[in-house]
Order: sequence, then structure tokens, then C-alpha cells
Amino acid sequence: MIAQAAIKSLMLSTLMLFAAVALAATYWAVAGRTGILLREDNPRLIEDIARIRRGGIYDRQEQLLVESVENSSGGMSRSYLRPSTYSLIGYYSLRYGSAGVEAAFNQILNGSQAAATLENYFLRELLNMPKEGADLRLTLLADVQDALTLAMQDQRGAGVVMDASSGAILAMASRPSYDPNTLDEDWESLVVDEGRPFFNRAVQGRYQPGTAMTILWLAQAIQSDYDLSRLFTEPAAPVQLEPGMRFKCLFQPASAEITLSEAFVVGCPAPFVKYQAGLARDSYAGIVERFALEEATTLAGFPVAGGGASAASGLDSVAESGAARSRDVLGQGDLTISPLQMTAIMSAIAADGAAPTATILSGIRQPGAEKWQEEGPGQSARLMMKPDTAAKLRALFQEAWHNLRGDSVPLGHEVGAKLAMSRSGEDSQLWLNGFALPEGRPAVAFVLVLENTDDIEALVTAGRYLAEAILSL
Amino acid sequence: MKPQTARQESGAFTQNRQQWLLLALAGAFLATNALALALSGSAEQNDWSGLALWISCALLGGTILARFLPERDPILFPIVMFLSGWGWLAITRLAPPYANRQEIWLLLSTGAMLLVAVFPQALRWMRAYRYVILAVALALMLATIAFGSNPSGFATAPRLWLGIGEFYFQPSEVMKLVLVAFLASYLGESAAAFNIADKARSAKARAPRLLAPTALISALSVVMLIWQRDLGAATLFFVVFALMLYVASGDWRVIASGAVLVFVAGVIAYHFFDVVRLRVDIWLNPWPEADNRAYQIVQSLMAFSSGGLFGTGIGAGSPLYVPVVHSDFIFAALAEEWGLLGVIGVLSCFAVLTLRGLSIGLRHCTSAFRQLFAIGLAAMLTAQAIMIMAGTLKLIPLTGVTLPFFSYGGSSLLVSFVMIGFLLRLSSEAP
Repeated sequence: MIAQAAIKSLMLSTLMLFAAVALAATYWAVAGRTGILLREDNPRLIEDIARIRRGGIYDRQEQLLVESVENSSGGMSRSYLRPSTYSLIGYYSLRYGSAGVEAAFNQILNGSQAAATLENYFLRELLNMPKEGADLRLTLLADVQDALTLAMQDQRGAGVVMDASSGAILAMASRPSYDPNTLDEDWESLVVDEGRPFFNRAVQGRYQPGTAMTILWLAQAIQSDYDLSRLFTEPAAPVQLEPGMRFKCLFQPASAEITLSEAFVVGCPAPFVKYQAGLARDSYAGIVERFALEEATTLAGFPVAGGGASAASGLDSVAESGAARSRDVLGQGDLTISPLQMTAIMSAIAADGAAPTATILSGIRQPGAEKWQEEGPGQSARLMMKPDTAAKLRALFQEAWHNLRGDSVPLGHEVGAKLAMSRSGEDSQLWLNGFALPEGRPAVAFVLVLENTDDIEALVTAGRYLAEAILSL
Repeated sequence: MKPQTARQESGAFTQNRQQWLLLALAGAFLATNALALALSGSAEQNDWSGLALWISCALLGGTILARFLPERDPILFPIVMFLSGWGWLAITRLAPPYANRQEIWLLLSTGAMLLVAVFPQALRWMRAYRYVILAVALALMLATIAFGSNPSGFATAPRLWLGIGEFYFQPSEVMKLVLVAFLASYLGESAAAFNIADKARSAKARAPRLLAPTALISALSVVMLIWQRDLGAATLFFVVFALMLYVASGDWRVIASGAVLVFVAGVIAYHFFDVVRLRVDIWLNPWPEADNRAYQIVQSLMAFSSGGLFGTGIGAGSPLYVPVVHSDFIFAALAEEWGLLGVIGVLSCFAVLTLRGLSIGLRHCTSAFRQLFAIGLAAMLTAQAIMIMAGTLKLIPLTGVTLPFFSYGGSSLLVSFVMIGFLLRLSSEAP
């Protein structure tokens, strides 16, 4: 006879084996799930990401700039609709990652920050429905962005337009740029492009400020009640920092002796060198601290500018020699700043002395929702100068802009701007730092930097075009 | 047929009702999923002939079984129809070109199952002509060594099939049934000789001599499979041989010795067979080779994780990342698209199948052959299912066998259905 007990023990054993298989399946489906699914070699991860319907990106007036569209393979692709915004919006690519606004707000756009509601859990975790990201509304004004891009034409450089009171970025461009719609096709040539199109010069670019430093020296002079009626002789004398690096007046001064304010308006560097020579040795450190030049000004989520020498190293050079001091006065020392940083300073001048924190996000709209969740300004503004100092500077800027534009186009006195020049070895950059004061609306600061050019006329034309666009809003 | 008593008629009515209810549930499940697959657009599920064929097989099988085997186990047929239907659906989703072939095999398998279930001679022949059947099966396996081919066409793939035109058949699948029948027959007749319960010294002394032929035949089959690099089937044969011997003898040392032998054989094979070394290595640690040699098992585990509790839904997952997913790794596809819930469902079906099969053996206490045959069939199906399911979950090294009823493979489906046919026959016979 067959042993009945053996059959029963076989039953029990097989049941235990089935239970072991069930336990192993439970482990991989529940406990060990996250670890294995997040492995980089999990092709499903890419598929899941490809199925995400990223949120759209709008400008402040809810003009659609970027949308997600279903592609032929069933996944989602990004469609970038406004060429002028390409350099700011950046790109989102399954193969190459993301940059710009797409990278800065990736978590919102891809739905990772969706509220942990029961509905979301049911749809995403249980039913495996693809994620849906929230829409973004930027502080950007597409029309101003278009104007900025048009103003820069194909000139290499950067431009920023900022609401001086709130810090909201109204426009931001970096040239050269690229078309994110054809990123996969163009990638190989873009990464070797000498113009570095992926480099957002407006945020990451570090330029020597050059004669734009005279803005800061003049602000310090006004702030410290310096006698602005004091006259400087030989104002038009060129300043030779090193062989081949000479700075001279933009416009011929009206007389042989001029004040620091007049020197600022006509763009003469020599009086500023003399002015600084009479100051204490730590005056440069005072400027660096007042205008937060050592602190990287950036946009939340955007990469911080790298590679620029800190102002601290510039402080060391102050003690070395007169030539070194002259370099610091004329922004040719170790100090470098970004166009965004310069725009914050210009905002302080345009808005009674306080530099706001730059921000680009205006609102978030959750999937399916109709209303936008408003995003307020960032951190509190940083006081850089007294309101009356800012007011005096504004007047001088308006005068400087009047000198620059000539009388051919009577624009009025709503705009102030100052042209500056800096040199980096053989190359030179032109800065146009200014503001516009639209009637009944907050002041707007703007900065344009063009690389490898000494075409002042082109920069002034660009500035005028941009200012008109701002004032016509 | 003998006239039925009122009690028998009542029992048969209840059994038939159970059968039809379970078949209706299975049909509803399949129809819902087929519709979902069609709506998902991930596979060309516009051909509803497969579902129609499944319904026809279920109706035909259910009717014939109800008519000719009123006392059968009412659960077995619905379960295997459910599993094979689910398998067909999965194949339709994973490898649409193979779906039609699987449908034809399902039709043939159902017919073969009904034949062996309805005609009592089949059971008798398996016992009476065991040597002839065994010789034919061994000859067919030998033929694969000389004339074997592989439907995939890969030169390096094991040549385990005999092919005539577009028709391929795997003799090792037939050997599973034949081996179980031979062992049941031989051990059944000799049971008293080496049953541990038998205290007679003379009987125990004769045990090795009586055991030798079965061990020889089993070893021969295993060697031939190893020769053909069908190591999964070789392991399966050995495991079933050990289990049947254990049941026949009641001696736990058979299992212990078998485990030691498998371990020793594994160590030796590890050093002599590249394929064994590969499978053991990736079983122990697949992660460093996740993109290379361990790609299949890692993708299988990812499929389980991707499915989570409720699965992605049919057509919504990515099980095609698992190589050979429609065959050996269909369990991983099931886990991805039906989740842990589906896995537990299939496991439960196999567990019920095992318990019903072993229970049939338990009931046949008056016939050692019938008892051992039922147990052997149940053990073969169970061991095969556990081996591949545990393999895809990295519980044991991969063995490369199919999941009975579920995986793509005509020979496997046919033989598995014939096994169920015999179990149905055995269940309907009074002990």
C-alpha cells in the first residue's frame, strides 16, 4: 500500500512552495519595488517618463509658449511655439534631459509635485495612468520677449528685462540660441558650437563690468554725500590699464573741468579713477558689499553662474598698485558679474534703491483646474541705496540716455540708460544698462550685453527698440 | 453505462452546476480582458475567433464531461480552461503571430483530453503497454538527437523538436506523461516490496533490485535531456521521479537523497556546462550583468515590480522587454499587466489543481497504479509550474521550462491537457 501520510506531506509541501512563490512575488511587487524600478537601466522608467503629459508653459498674459503633444509612438513630445523664448524656456528631451525653465520647474511640469490625494493615488499608482503635470505661467511678457530678441538680432550676448519693484522677469534672452523642437537632430552640432548656445548668458554668463562700474562708484559718492560739485581736470584723458587696453570718453566733455556726475553722463573714466584714488583702501570692499557683488544673483532652479572670480580676490589686488586700483575702478579686475545681477542693480536705481529678488514664476495651474494658484514675489528686496540716491542716479541716467540717442527720435524722459564697455583680452563687450518708467506702471529695468563688438550705434538702436516696446505695453 | 442512483444524480447535478458556473466566470474574465486589449490598441486584437474557439472548447468539453463523466472532479476542467484561455490572451497580446497556432493547439488539446477522459481503455493501455510506449517515447527523444530542430531557427538553440513542415513537436513533453505512467505502473506493482511500512525484511531486501529499472529509465531520460541541453526538463524528470518514489516508499530519505543528488549534480554541471554556470551566476547576483547576461531575469523582476499590486492592465505594460516572454517568462508578463492580484490568482489555480490532483490519488487507496499515476501527474504539473514561476522570481536558478497551460507551446499544452484528461478519468472512477 502507498503511504497516505506521504501524499499528505506532499500536499503540505507544495502548498508551502506556492506560498514561497507568492511571498517572492509580493516582495518584488511591493517591498522591493521602488529600488528596482528606479534603476537607470530600467527601460520602463523611460517609457513612464515618455507618457507623462508635462504641463504647458504660458506667458503672463496666458499666451501659450510650450505644449505637450502626443507623438506617433504614443508618447508625449514638447512643442515650443515662440522662437523668441527658446533660450529662456530651454528644452526637455528624453535623451538629453532638460534645461532652462523646463529644468528649473521640472518637478511641477512633470507632475511629481502633484498633491497626494486619494484620486491621484488611485489614478497613478493603482490604475497606472500616466502622470499629468501642472501648467506654468511665467512672469514673461511674450511681446517684450519678442522685442528683446529682435533688438539683439543675431549678436552674441544676453539681455534681461525686469519689473524693478517685484523682480519679475519680463524678458530674458541669450544669444546664440537653438531650436528645441529639433534638438535631437541638431544636438551633435550644438554641443560643439563655439557660441555655446546651451549656455544661458543672461543667468550664467560672467562678464567683467568694465565702465559699468562707474555706476556703482557714483552711487557710492552720492550715498556718502561726496561733494558732487568738485571739478576734475583733464577729464578726457584716456586711462591706460595695460598695453592695448585704453578707456576714453564716449562723448567729448563740454569743458576742461567737469564734475563726477558730468563725467558719468558723457562717459569719461578718468575722473572716476581720480575719485577712487582719494578714497580709503577699503572703499572697493564697501561697493562689493553694498551691491552684493559676491553673491550670485540667479533665478530659482536655474544653474548658478560659475567660473567668475570673486570680488574678494579683487580686494587683494587693491593693495597692490595704482594700476590694480584703476582696473577695479573700471571693472577690469577680477570681478565679474552676470547680466541678471546687473539688472537687479538697475532695478534698485529704478525703484527707489531696493533691488528685488528675481523671479520668473507667476502662477501654477494643477491638471484639470481652471484657476491659477498665484505665486508671489521671492525674498524681500535688498536695500542698496537710499531713495534719494536712486532718484539722483535716475536723473543722470536719463541725461546719459538723452546724450546717447541724440535728438532724432524724441522719446521723452521716461527712459534712462548708460552705455559701458569692458574688455576681455582681445574681445570687448558693450553694456547698455537702463530702465524705463512707464506712466502709471512700475518701473522696468533692462540690461543688454553684446559680445565682441564695439558697434555702439547698434547697441543704442537695440536699446531704443527695447525701450519703446516696454513703454508701449 | 451503469444506471445512476438518485444520490449520484444529485451529486452530478451539483458538479455540473459548479463546472458551468466556473466556466462562465472564466469566460467573463477572458471576454472582458479581450475587449480591454482591443481597446488598448497595443495588439491586433480584432480577431475574435480565438475567444469563440475557447468558448466552443469550453462548451464542448463541459458537455461531454457532464455526459460521460458525471462523477468527475468538477473543478479541474474549468481551471485548466481558465489558465489556457488566459494564456492564449497573453500570447495574443505578447506575440500575436503565435496566437492562431495556440488556438489550434487548444482545440487539439481539448479533443485529446476528452478522448483519454472518456475512453477508459486509455488508462488501461498506459499500464498494459508501458514498455512499448516507453520505447516509442525514448526512440522519439533519440530521434531529436539525430533529426532535432528548433522552431526559432537559431543555430545555437537546443534542438528539442521534431518538425514536419510547419508542424513541430517536442518529444520530451510526451516523455513527461510516459515517464509518470511507467513509474506509476512499475512502482505500483512493486510497492509492497519497498514500502517502509512493510516490516518484512525480505521485502526491504528486494527493494534495490525492484527499484533499479525505474532508476535506470529515469536516469536514461535525464541523460538524454542533458545531452540535448534541456536541463530544465532533466531536473523536472528527476524531481518527479524522486517524488513518486517517496510517495511509493513513504521514506523521507528518498527526498533527502534526491536533494543531495541534485545539489551534487548541480555543482558538477556548474563546472562542466556553461549554461548552468551562467544561470547559477546570474541567480546569485544578476545586477552587475543587468544589461548583458542577466538581462532576462532582471527584466523579469522589473516586470513584477512594474505591475505592483494591480498591474498596469492588459496592453498597458511593457512586458516585451523580457526576452522570450510569451514562453518561459509569461509569468513575468502576467505579473506586469495583472499585478500581484493576477499572480496570486494563477498561483491559487495551480494550488487548487495540485490539491485536487493529489486528492484524487489519495482517494484511490485500492489501486497503487491509479494512486501513483494521479500523484505523478499532479506532481509533474506542479513541479513544472513551481520551477518556472520560482525561476522568473529569482528564487531558484532559471530552468527553461514552460508554465503549464499558460505558456506558448503546442506540445506542452497538448500533453498537459492529456494529463488532465487522465486525472478527470481517475477522479470519475470509484475507488
